[in-house]
Formats: sequence, structure tokens, C-alpha cells
Amino acid sequence: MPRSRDSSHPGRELISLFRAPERAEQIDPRTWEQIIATGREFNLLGRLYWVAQEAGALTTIPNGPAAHLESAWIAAEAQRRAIGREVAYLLKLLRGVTSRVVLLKGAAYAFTGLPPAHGRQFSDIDILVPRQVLGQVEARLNWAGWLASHHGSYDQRYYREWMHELPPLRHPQRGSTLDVHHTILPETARFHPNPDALLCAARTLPEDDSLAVLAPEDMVIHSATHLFVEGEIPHGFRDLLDLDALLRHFGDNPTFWATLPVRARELDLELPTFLALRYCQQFLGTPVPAPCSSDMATAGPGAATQRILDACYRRLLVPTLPDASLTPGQWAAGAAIFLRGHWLRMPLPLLARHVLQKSVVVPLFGEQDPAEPWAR
Amino acid sequence: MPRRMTVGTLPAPEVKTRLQGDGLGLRIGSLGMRILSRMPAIHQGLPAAYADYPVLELDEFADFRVRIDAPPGPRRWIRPQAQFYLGTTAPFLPLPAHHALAMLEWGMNWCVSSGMHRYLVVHAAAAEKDGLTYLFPGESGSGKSTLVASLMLSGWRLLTDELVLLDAQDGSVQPFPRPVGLKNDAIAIIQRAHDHAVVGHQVRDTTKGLVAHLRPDADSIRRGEERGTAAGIFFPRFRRGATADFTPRAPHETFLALVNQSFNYQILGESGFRLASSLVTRVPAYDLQYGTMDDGKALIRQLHAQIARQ
Repeated sequence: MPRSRDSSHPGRELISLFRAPERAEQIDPRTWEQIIATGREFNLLGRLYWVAQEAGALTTIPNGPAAHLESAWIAAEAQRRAIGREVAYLLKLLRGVTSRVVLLKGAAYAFTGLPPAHGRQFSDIDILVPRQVLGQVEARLNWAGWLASHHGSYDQRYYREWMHELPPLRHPQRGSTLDVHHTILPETARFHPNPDALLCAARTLPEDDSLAVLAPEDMVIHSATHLFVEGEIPHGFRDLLDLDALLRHFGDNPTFWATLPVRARELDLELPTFLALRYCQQFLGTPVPAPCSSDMATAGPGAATQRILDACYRRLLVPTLPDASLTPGQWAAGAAIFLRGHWLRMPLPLLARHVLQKSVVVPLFGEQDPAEPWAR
Repeated sequence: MPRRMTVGTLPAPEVKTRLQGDGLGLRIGSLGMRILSRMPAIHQGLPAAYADYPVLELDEFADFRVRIDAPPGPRRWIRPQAQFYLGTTAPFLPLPAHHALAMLEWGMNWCVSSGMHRYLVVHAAAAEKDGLTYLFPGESGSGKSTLVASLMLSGWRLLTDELVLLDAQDGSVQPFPRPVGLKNDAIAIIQRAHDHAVVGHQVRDTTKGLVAHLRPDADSIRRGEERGTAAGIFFPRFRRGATADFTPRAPHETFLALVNQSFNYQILGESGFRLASSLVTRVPAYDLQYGTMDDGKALIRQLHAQIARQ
């Protein structure tokens, strides 16, 4: 039986396919099976379809795996159409409440046709609105049928007092999920980006002056923050692909590279931006001009911390075959990044309380539901 | 193509070793399914239900790697359960362990209905005679599975009893022949009418009542990659005591029924619309009403003769 050189690491095969789709020809069926299973788990197949198509390598992929790339691409296109409709509903609904709705992440890429959008599979819509109008926005959304998904009184408090977003909202008929943000990091986090600065710099879209997306640098910084301040990164590699696509796209404009470090400093988000550039270069060979790298160099952690972070992210950003069990290294890396994420997002006393709530109170006593005080 | 080994020729310990190790691969129609399981209900039930299916070896591509195992937790020991996984996704709530094989069937259907958008996937049965393929859409309980089971046992080729895969490019019907899920009374009706029917172990108290799976005939399995051309659409409706009768259906009504019974019409968008509308304008459709299985089959034979003449 022909064995592929690296069949025990379908995740690494997948990454090298993203970097060089023409390698598709050399992959044996068994490795394809693992690549498809891994890519499906990590929502990467639709994107791989697009990357292979752009490289003219689609026809070199055997029919079996190609069907799954195509299937994911079709599903991603359907999501893109659905996002367009949802955003149109939202705009109509929020007219008069806020002068502009800022689309974040997937919705922003999809709506503006930015490069990360092609074949990107996502389901949530994220929007950013000024904190002052949050209450009105929520009321309008509730009125239109968007319902909160976290009902427990602790969860409600967790989101409303400490987090940067409302509890996720779900539309029961359409099945869409909406995250309404008023800033991009929890209020309690160690970094304090000024949400007004993000809102002011946001770019109004030509299609509709009540719709905007973040400025190019801010879009990159937000994506980096999302990936490198979170404690759990189930879609880590997809997020890294987003960053790579954004950097390559915006990087065509030389002023972008000069502005990025300055803006990261202004927003107090240098560390996540530094890590994003570092791992984009390492994993995907993203070209970063030397002056920008040296400008960002001071933003990195100390050498020892850097070594630990490298060891962790080298394991966590590589997609793994879902039915393979975690290696001790992967487990430790996951635990370390989980703790780091929480540590960055909450001061210690609050973190202790949160851990107590989630690991002791809820398992023993269940969620306290404010809507049904008679339930317990 | 070289003759493939079938599941039935593998010794029982080998089946178990594969299921517990790198997975037992099955070729079903044009799809490859690799199944991993530590559950005795699967080790015993799977080779019986899939005896005639070609084995997909380790160096061949499987479209889906699925796993059916006990979900984590203390219930592993008290009243054990079965859970179906595609990767780490578990689309259903766990079921009692002895429902494992039925759950595997439903899970494999879920894989195809939610992840094969090259096809318009329609909840319907399909069978072929003399090169003409007929689709049988129908709600659960309409009797479509019983009807195609009986047709298959009378020499028709079974393409599917549950999921019709219509190629989004050319509208051809890709077979996906699987053990036919029979429910409640249908099990005894089929066994009484066809001596050679091989019906597997009966599972009680599922959400669908008493369930057993009928083995597809070897010919339907062997021709699993041979696509069919839709020649008619029959909407069966079994009602005890009803007189056998058929009425033509207007294309727009058939269109709506196909769309309602499809899993991914919205995902396909425009190509789904083109496919369904060209199908309903190209082939005739009928509502069938019948009170016994034999009446139903007689209606289908009559309509088939009529369509074949044209």
C-alpha cells in the first residue's frame, strides 16, 4: 500500500496544500480521506476549493475529495447570500437607532467581497454599535424575534457587566446567530482598545451610508485580537488564513505597513498584532516588510514567554484529524492557551469567581434562570 | 474493474478488528463510508446488514469517516447509550445502545443530506426497471419504503429507499442503495410476500416504533455506480381499505413537493431551481392511492408500461 510521506499529519498536509495547491497531484487517496475529514472539522474545505481554483489546481484533485471541496464551496456561497439578506434586515430594523452599523469579521468580508470571504464558512453575524445605543438595539432586535441564547442570571451578568457583547442572539425561524458588540475586548481585559476610535475610523460602504466596516488596519488588528486573546481557538487556522488574506490584500498599499504598528499601539493591541504577523509568516509565508517587522519587534513578549507561546501555537493552530486522540503536548498547549486567554480577559479575582461559577455552582445547582424564578 | 471483496467474506474477528482500528470501509453507490466503532451491536449487526457490500480498503478514499460509540460519561456502564459522530459533531441525541445500528443508518443519511451539495438531495425512494428510474417522494408513513422494498424483491433495481441524489449538473440519479428501513407492520408484510427477503434484527421502541432493515439484493449493490435517468415521479399513499387509483399531478405541485422534501434546495440556490423545474416539466408525475401493497405494485407496473411505450 503506498503510504504518504506524512500521512500521520493530515493537518500539516492541509496547510501545505493551502500554500501550494499544485501539490494536490501527489497526494494519495488515504491522505485525501484524512485531509477531507480534517478540513471538514475545521471549516476549511470551502476555502481550499477557492484557493485551488485560483491556482488552477482544481482539475488535479481526484473526483472523490473534489466533491467535498465543491460541496463546502456551495454551502459557503449560500451562507454569503444569507448574510446579504440578514444585513439588509438588520439595517431596516436599526434605522434611526444608530447612524451606522459596523460589520465585523465574516459578515464584513462577505459584504465587501474582501479576499478572506471566498469559500469562508461561518455562521455568526457580528456587528459593532456604540455602547450608548446598545439597549435600544437590543430592544429592536428582540421585537423582531431575535432571542438571547444564554438565560441564566450569571450568564446574563457575565455578558452585560464584563463582556464586550450582548449574549448571542438567535433568530429561531431563520436559525441565524447574531453577536452585537460594543467594543472588541471584554471590559475587564488587560488591553483597553478605545471603541470610539474604531467607530470613528470605520469606513462607510458605498452601497449604503448606514453601513460600515472597520478601517483596514483595524480590521487586521481586530482579527488578530480575536485569535490571540481568546482562550479557545477551534477555528484557529481558518482565522490565520483570514489574517493572511487581509495582510496580502491591504499590504499592496505601502502606507498600510507604516500605519499598522502605529495603530496597534494606539489601540493598546500590539501584542496580538505582533503574534498575528509572526504566525502568519511562520505558517503561511505571509510577506511582511522588514521596517514593519522591526517596528513591531518591541511589542513581542520576552524570549522565554515567546518560546512557550511558540510551542503552544505550533500545536494549536495546526488542524488535527478529529478521531485522533490528543497528544499530551496538544493537551498541555490547549490548557496553557485556555488559561492565558482567561488571564488576559479577566483580572484574577473575577477569574476565580468565574471558574467557581462554571466548575462548581452550575454543575451542582444548575443555571439560575431569572425568567422562571419558580423553576427551582 | 477488479472484483472487490465483500463484507460477508471477511471473518468476524477481522470485521471487529477493522471497526476498532482504522475503520471498516464500505462502498455504497459511488460513496465510501469508513465506520469506526467499539460497540458489539455494530460488530454483530453491521456484517449482517452489509454482507454484500464491497469493502473499501485502507488505501482507498472514504468520503465520510463516521464513528458510533458510547458517549463519554458514567452511562457507559449503567444503561449504555450509542452516539453517532462525524468528526466531533454529534448531530443527534444519544440513543439506547441496542439502537446503534439504526442510528448508524440515520447518521450516514445525515452525512449525505447535509454534506453532498453536488446533488440535490431529496427525501424519496427510487427504483429502476428496463432503464427507467422512478422517484417515490413521500412523508414518513406514506408506504414508500415498503413499496420499493417489494419492487426490489420482484426484480426491480433499488437505487435508494431514503435519499435520492440528483446530480446538479445533469439531473441523473446517483444510486445510494442501503438496507431498507422497514417499520412496524411493514416488516411482516414484506416477509410474508417474499420468502427470499433477508430482514435483520428487529429493534423495538425506536422513535419510529419497531424497525428492521431489509438487505438490498446483490444486483442493486453491484450496480451502485450506474446512474439512473428519471422517467416518472410517483407519490404513493397507502390507506387501508382504499381502492387503487392514480391521478396525474400538475408540474408546479410536484415541484413544490420536491422542494419541500429536499434537504439542500436553499443551499443549491439557482442550480437547485433549474434542476427541479426541468425535472418536473420533463417527466410525468402521479398520485397513487392504494389499500394493499399488491394494488400499489399493480398501479406502478401499469404506469411503467404506459411510460415505457412513449
